[in-house]
Amino acid sequence: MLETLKKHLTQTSFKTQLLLLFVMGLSILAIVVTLATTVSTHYLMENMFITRNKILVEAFAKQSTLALLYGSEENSRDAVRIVSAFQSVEYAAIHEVNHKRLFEYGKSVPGIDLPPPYPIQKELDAHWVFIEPVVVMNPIDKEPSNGGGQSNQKPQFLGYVKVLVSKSELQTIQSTIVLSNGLIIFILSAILYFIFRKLVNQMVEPLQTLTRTMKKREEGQTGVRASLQGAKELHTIGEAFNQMINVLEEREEALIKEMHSREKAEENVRQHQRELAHFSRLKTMGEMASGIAHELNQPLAAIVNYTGGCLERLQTEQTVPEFVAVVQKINDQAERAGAIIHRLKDFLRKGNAVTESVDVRLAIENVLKLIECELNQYEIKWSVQANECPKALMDKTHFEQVTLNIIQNAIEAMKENTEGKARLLTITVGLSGKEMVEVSIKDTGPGIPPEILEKLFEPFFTTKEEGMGMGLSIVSSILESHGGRIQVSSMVGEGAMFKLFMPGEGIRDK
Amino acid sequence: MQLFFRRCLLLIFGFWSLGLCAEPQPISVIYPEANAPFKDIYDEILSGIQAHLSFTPPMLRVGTTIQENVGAWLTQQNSKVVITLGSKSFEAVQKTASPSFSMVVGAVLFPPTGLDAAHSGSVITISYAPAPQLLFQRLKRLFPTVQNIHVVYNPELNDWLIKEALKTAEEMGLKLNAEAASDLKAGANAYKNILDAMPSSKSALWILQDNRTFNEAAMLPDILSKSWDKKLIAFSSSLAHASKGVVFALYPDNRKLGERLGKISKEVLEQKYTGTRLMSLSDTKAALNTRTADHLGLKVTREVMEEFDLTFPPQG
Repeated sequence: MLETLKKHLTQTSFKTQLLLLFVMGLSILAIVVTLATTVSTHYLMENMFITRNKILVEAFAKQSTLALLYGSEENSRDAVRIVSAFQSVEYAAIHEVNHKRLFEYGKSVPGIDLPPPYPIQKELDAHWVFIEPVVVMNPIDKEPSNGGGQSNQKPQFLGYVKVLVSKSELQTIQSTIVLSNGLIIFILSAILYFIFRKLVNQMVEPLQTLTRTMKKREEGQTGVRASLQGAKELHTIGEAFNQMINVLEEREEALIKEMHSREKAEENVRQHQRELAHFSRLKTMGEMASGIAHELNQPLAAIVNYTGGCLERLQTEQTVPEFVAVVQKINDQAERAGAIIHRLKDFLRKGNAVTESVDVRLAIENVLKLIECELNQYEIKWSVQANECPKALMDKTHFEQVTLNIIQNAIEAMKENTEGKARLLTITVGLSGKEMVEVSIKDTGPGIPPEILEKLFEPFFTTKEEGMGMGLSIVSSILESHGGRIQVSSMVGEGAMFKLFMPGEGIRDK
Repeated sequence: MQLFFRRCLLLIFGFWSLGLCAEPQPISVIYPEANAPFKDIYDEILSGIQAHLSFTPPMLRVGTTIQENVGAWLTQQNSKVVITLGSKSFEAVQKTASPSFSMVVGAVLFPPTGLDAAHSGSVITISYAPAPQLLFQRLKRLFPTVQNIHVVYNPELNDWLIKEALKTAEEMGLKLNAEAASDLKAGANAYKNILDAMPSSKSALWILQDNRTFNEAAMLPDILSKSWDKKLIAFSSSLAHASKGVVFALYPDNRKLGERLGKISKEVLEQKYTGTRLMSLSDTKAALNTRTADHLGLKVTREVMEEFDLTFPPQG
């Protein structure tokens, strides 16, 4: 119960809580006041009722004096007429000294024949009984002294009167008073409630305004300030809020400036990274230049041969169909040379990175074609194993650059192998988990010592005499910028294996 | 020097006065302590006593309780005659003093009772009850047609007065119908019967000061109401009744009463007193209720009013 109340109180507004407390207080006050008034009024009215009836009975007794002196019914009736005018008087009787009833009015009830001494005042269930003696005061001596003004009289008992008064009148009056009290208190409470409600509204309004201001701020509006009104505490809260907002807005402004400068810095970094990658590719091309020249030499030599053959045939006047076959071969070789140039051009393309869907296997084969000459030169056998044909989400050129860099390193490592050990380059394409594409490039080179492994991706770290030490660092940063990563494992004398992880496209759906 | 002589003379006169006061006087007075308005009554009586005597009698005022020193005081005074006013004073003397002096009793309604044999011969009482003769004379003067007078009395208290009244009535040619009643109830019924049966013009009701047969608070309003309705003549021995509605009443002239007490005391002292031992009050004043008189058909002329000391309602 208490918990429910607590919970309710925490969920209701301050205004409702104030009103609830006031209503509770007012209700308790109303109940207490009604009860107290009722009890006090009850006793007051009862005392007044008794006193009034006592006076009435005393007057009745006085009026009955003559009736008892005369023993007259007529005089008795006159006396009773006065007392019977009161509605609550249900029974009245005049008795002589010997208890003989001289006259009676109304209906008697049992239990009211009470012995002297009189006067008697007794409460029954539904009535009050009053018995008052009828006495006359006789002067002992009618003379001037009379005890010097003091009573020098002797009472003479003539009889008594008996009056039965119903409590119904008293009960009706008491009920009316209770009802009136209740009604007055209810009306008063209602008036007080409305007055208090108005006051609470006035008290709470600044708080609500402050809450609305805070809400606006929460929704993101700027420049909002609390208006300082209401109680002293609310002033303090408003001032604190305004101060807090001032500080917050200053910090926000600083943060925005910081963000802008950071974005600018990041853009610069990205720009440098792009330029670095391009530079790296140019360098790679430079390193590959003799291989490419050799590569291009073959189709060009073939074109020269075929062109010389065509010239001899033209001099020997052979038939056209033979020319077609030769020209076809010239064309093929020229296309081959063009493709080589095209791949080079693609590789050296300079521009912003564009995340796209890259067919990993196809991209790897392109790279292998670029470097095929070197592979063949150093008698390296390669294989691409791909159970799946996944697509990676990254810039295609960057992927090719990463792959080429790792393969070139593998070639570099294996070409030094002069111990007759087979030179094998094994590339495996697969999935890693549900989101990543995994490409493993394994060589049979001398392997990488553990102390070097730790520093392998640090910038400007190299084991080559002519190297700059930026290759693997760029590879690592390219992959990280695309949400991927690179791992390396190696056993000295056995070779090394690089694992490239890149975000894959549509892998989760599979 | 003159001042010195004057002071010496005053001192000598003071000692002489003290010597006079200290000298035993043959008549002394005992009266009760009373507050206003009763004190004025006693003062008037005392002034009457003093006016008649050639000397200032020693006076003792007794309180509401009987004082032990009354006897000693009386012994010291060694008076031959003691005037007592009111029943309390009489009782004080009776209970504490030795019977070596005569007593003159005043300001009591009824003759004192309980006196021992030795005392009874030396007590003379003047009742506060107005003399029937004076009442009847005034009645006849106002209402000459009246022939019958009705009265209710208690024999133990007022037998002496009724005897005097019967005698007076007979002398005046009136018939007095005196109804004896033993108690208040009998008295009330007697009054009721009288009022029911009484003819209006030739009869009159005399309301006597008799505590045992008449209660003023309970009975007077009814008696006056019936008298008014039936135009009956009601007169009384009490001044208060005149103010409430009886046509006339006689009441004591206290100053004259005092003078009479002084005169009788002196006569007793000089052993010249030959009067009765118990007498009604002959020194009276009269009060008239003009409204009732008018209602009864009495022509209240200036001459009539001059015969009365008081009128009700008071005349401007």
